[in-house]
Amino acid sequence: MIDNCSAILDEFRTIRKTPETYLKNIDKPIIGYFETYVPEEIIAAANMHPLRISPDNAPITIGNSKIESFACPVSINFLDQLLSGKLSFLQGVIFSRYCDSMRGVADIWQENRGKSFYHFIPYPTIATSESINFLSDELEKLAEHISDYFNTKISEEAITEAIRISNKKRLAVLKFYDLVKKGELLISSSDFFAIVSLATIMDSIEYTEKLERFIDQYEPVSNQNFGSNIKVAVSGIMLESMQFFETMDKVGLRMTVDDLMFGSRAFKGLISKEKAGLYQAIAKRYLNKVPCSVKGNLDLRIDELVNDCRESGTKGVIFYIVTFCDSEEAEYPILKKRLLEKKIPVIAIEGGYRISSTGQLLTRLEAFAEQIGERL
Amino acid sequence: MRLEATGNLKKLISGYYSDLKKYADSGKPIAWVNVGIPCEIFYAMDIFPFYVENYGAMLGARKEAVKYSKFAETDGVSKHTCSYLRSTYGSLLSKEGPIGKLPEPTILVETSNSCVTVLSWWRLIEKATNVPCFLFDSPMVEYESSGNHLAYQVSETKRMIRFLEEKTGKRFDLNRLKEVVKISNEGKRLWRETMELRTNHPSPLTGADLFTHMFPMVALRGTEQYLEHLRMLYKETKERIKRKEFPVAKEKHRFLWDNLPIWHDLRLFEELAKKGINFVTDTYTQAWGDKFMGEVSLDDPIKGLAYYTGGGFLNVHIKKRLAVLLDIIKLYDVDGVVFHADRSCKSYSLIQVQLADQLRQNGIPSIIIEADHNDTRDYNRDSIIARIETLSEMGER
Ligand code: SF4
Ligand code: SF4
Repeated sequence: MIDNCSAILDEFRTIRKTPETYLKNIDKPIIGYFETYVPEEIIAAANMHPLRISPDNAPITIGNSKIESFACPVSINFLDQLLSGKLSFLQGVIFSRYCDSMRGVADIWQENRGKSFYHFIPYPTIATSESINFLSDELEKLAEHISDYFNTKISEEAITEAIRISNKKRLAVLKFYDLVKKGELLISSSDFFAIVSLATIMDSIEYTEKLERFIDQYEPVSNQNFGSNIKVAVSGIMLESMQFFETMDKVGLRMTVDDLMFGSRAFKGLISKEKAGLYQAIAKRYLNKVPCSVKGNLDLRIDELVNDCRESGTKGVIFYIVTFCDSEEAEYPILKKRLLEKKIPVIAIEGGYRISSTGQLLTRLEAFAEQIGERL
Repeated sequence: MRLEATGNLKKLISGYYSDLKKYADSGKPIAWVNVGIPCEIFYAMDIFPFYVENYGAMLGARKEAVKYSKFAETDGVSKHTCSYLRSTYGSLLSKEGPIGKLPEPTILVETSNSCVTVLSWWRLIEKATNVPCFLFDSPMVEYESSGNHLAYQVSETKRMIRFLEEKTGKRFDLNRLKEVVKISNEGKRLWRETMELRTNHPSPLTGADLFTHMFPMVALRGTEQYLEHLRMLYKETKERIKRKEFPVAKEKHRFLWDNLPIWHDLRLFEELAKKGINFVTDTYTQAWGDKFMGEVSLDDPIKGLAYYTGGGFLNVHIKKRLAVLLDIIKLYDVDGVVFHADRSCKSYSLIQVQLADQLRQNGIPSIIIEADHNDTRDYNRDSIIARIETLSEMGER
């Protein structure tokens, strides 16, 4: 790696470690969302910064007393961040119908938010021409709501530009994925996670520019000189624990493919021009993207995962399940069967948004590494 | 105090399951559906609607849910998921159950109008049975389905009818649907009127009664036997008032139950009744009342059914849930609310802390108890009774 490239990587690492410092320097109003079905393009078109909220590492203060203990821990963390005022730097939040836990969080927040901006997108589950029409109308309503509330105007030009910027970012991330898959870019699991997760946290233009430069200036190192060398995929919904990825690094498991809500599933599929208009184009892309299990359609997701594993020579899949995440918990048997049919070993690890025992995780990952551990 | 109509209910349930078998034996189409799906369309098309939640409730009431859940858990389904899902999917995998091996479905039909869990549930069934599956998509609404949402629900209803025609070879006939909807409407009216008889002091019914008798509302709407049963139930309830025969003659407390009942312990209501505590209303059976499933216009039954599918009880946001609570608390003269935090049902339960806070702010004593509607593991009856008693200590009538 030449210096410039490692400088960019260092910058990514720093921002990932303390995103709050980075966000302080954003000179636009910030709107938060929690999952990647909320189209960032519409927020960006209002000249605001779309920020995907991730679970933080701080202890829960109030969230536990405001929602039942069997809500998933990620959703409790989100609720806690909202109710405790940690997210008061946001101008508002946008929810969509995602999972049963997050609909609870959305409703509770609706009753406690005071006058801050709140919008819930009634999201379809399927992709048909009727559902695209429906979502398109709903996205237009979202844009109107933002315009009215913030006394701003979301023009067609601004949406077109926001789409261009997001598409460019998607292409850059997809290129990054492709290089990692082909083994032309060797990177540790923790750096992979840092880079990908920042795509929905940082300013899109700045992020894309940095990622493109990182890719351009990257100089291949040989496999021999690279520590983590057993290629694995990580699948799940919300796995945002740096500790998790660092533990993977420790045992020599290198993430070459991800199948995460804020990872590859957020970037595959661009928005293409539609005669029927910009909202239709956005709706079409979001309803056709590789779905999360909350949309009840695992087939496309598994096909993509299997293809990515094949293309990259990945040796196994780590499936991370957030405790009480019903969709992932219920669909795991399907995913497992399909992967095993394809002779791809899979390990399921269940936990919260933080890793409570790295020792235990280390042991399990070591065992998995041993099981699949044919070195490259 | 047992309702005479309960004898008829038993006949109704066994008739439903023997019809299911008859359809299977004669090769007639069977659809496995979930509760949000309007059965009127299925009866009008002579497709048997097998309500899988109902089957789950039966496993729960027979205390057999855990036995079957274990098959699902062995298959890799987590214990944290909805116990309806686990017990019914487990029964399917084990090829066993109270009626023996479940007859195979011809098709599967699901809707997203109650929870996201259903989508995973139907996926598991789909993989296990390998039959075509239809998802009736129903995004959430604030209060009710209207405007573009209603248009979408109408188009989903029509898309479902096309799917049914295509996969079963049955023809849809609007006039036949009107006949079925007419019966369904009449039954819904009787259900509402029966519920309203509970406003009487004392209530002619206990909390368990309507939970027990909701089966025809869920699975048989639009059939003759449904109407006959609801007439019987209404008449008997009304006569109780006339004859002054009340299950809890001296109601010290009139409480409201929020959420599914604990199917494996409906006797809990009897136990509490002995202490003068009667549950005179609940939000669950209201889901089949006129607030969520009212009369469907015969001029455009597809639109009417679509309206109620889209505005289903678990498809609305907190403001409507709160408005309904406040409304029925007043109507039924309720003096305390028990929120059953049902571990299985996040979609129903996760706003209960908020709702309870808001009710307390309105001066309505409210408590939360935790259990599971089907899974008997970790069930602590004594502590639940003790908690409900603390609510009753907040003042007698
Ligand atoms: S981890 Fe699962 S249950 Fe939790 S917020 Fe994400 S999707 Fe919802
Ligand atoms: S999660 Fe709740 S709404 Fe969904 S199937 Fe289970 S009990 Fe029904």
